[in-house]
Amino acid sequence: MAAGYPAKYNFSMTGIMSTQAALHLQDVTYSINKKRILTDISLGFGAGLFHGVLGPNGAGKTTLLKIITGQLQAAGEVCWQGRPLSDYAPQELARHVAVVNQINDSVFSLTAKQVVTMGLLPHKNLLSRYTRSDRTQVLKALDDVGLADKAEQHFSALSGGEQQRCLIARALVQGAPLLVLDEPVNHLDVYYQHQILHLLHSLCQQQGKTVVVSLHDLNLAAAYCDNLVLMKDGLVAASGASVEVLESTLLADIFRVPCTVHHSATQTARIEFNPPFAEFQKASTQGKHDS
Amino acid sequence: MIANMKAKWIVLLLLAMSAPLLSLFFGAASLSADTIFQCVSGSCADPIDNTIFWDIRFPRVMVGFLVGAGLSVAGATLQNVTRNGLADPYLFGVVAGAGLGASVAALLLNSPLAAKWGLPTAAFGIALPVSALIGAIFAVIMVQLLARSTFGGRIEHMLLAGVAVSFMLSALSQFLLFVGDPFAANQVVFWLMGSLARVESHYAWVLFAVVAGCTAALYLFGPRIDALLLGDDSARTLGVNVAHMRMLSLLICAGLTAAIVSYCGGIGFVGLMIPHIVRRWLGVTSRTLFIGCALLGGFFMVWVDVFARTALTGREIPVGIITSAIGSLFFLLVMRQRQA
Repeated sequence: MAAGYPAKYNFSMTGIMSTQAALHLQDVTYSINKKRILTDISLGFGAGLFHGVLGPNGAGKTTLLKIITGQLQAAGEVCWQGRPLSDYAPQELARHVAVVNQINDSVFSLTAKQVVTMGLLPHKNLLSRYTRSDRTQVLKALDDVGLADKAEQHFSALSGGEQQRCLIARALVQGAPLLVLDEPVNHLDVYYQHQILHLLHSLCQQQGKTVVVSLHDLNLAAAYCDNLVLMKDGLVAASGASVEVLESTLLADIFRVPCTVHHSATQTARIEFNPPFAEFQKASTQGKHDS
Repeated sequence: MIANMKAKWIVLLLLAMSAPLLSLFFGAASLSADTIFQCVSGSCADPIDNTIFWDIRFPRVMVGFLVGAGLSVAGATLQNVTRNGLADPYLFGVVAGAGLGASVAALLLNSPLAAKWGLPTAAFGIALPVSALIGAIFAVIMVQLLARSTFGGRIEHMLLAGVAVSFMLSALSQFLLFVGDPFAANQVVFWLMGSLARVESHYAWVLFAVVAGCTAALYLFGPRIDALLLGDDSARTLGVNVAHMRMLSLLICAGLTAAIVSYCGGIGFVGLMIPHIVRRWLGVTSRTLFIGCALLGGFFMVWVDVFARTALTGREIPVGIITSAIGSLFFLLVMRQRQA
């Protein structure tokens, strides 16, 4: 798909006027082996807000997150606080951007406390010592994410939600104002999904962190995110305030599932899907897979 | 928890300090306890006893400790850097590379060419370790290049490349020895069995500098190496230059292992076994692991050498044979425990 989406999908960027954005992307294009993964992405992420990145599988969400955290180099410009990411030395960047990737288990059993202590690394040179105040900071971060009593437990023995919170604690110790999480609530049950997102939301509000997460659940996105970026086929289909982006025709087009969006003055928007069962049936009887 | 850890460190420290002291009393020549105390205090009655103590026994115990410490620290580093509990200096081709270097040196120095150029036999003492060192570093570079080009640089692939390079280099050195001079072959075969018998006192100080220097450097890298434990991507997001860190650690390990192997030959399984024990006992983070390994590795090797010196009267068992025997049994026990 070469062209962008029709003009009706380009919303006003409430709260994320791209010139004021803390994180700013200009004409970002990324390809692997001549295959376009992202095309001409220009976006702004406002400081102190909770941003959700949504889109079907293969839309380029993970790639986008890797580019804004400096894990991938793309054509175009990515600026954090007015400076291109490529200008930051690796250790300096780690003091500005904290990343929580999908969980990697370790073969050697580190304790939760040891994992969180890693977050101090960007602030240490080879000769610095780990002080008493470092230890206090680590314990405080564990306490902030509700893991104070699990400090000495092995990371691999924690539940999925606890591991995720442990990695968030590590990001807190890192002290970076920008927190980027790739699908932080995947594989978690409903309770932990809300717990993690609630935690991130409160980090935005109380500590002024800028949070960017990729999500699959539109209702969770509606409930927690201030702003949303909606992606499809490596393009930004829409971006802006959650209320505006969550619009039924747009969502139906992007996710290929008809839906109804219930807006209400008192509650967050609720999205109800009406899956096209007839289409699935046809595809399965014809023995074909829908591309 | 903290008190418990302190107790463990004290026990380890006592073990590590007592081993070299006690082992000074064991050896081929029977020195009485009195004589030893006299020699230590510098008032040795018999100059022969003095020589035996200061030029033979003391350096040997010191080298034993340093060899055990060095191999264990190298093993621990390789394991943490590759996130593989079975990594060992042997697996990365370091020993095979050193073996090839030693074989080439042994053959050249025993060749008619060397005699024609009038190389002194003393050259052998320097040439063998130096070319073993070059061989070891050559092997590490080859493993790195292979892992990167052929296997795409994934960490498991580095181990595979290491095994392949090991076999390739051993095949090469065995072929050289097969076609070469039998005397040189003999020298290399004994060298490969591993022994502390060739130790000279100047080497003890060289080794001390190498082991202390490398361990100190690795200790400083500790937290960065720890960051690798949760994956390369995770380490990168913490600002660690993963490729540099890994290459540097590997080179330090190669240098450390080569310095040991070049003089003492193949001493296997120490670098695999000791980190395993320390990890269970004290924890997995690199700094703890390195210091624990240095102490326990030194303790272990000193006693293995005492056994090597005293088990058979009149002759020594090469230490490499003993460590391999103990190590393989240990390995089987660990596997069995994991199954259960």
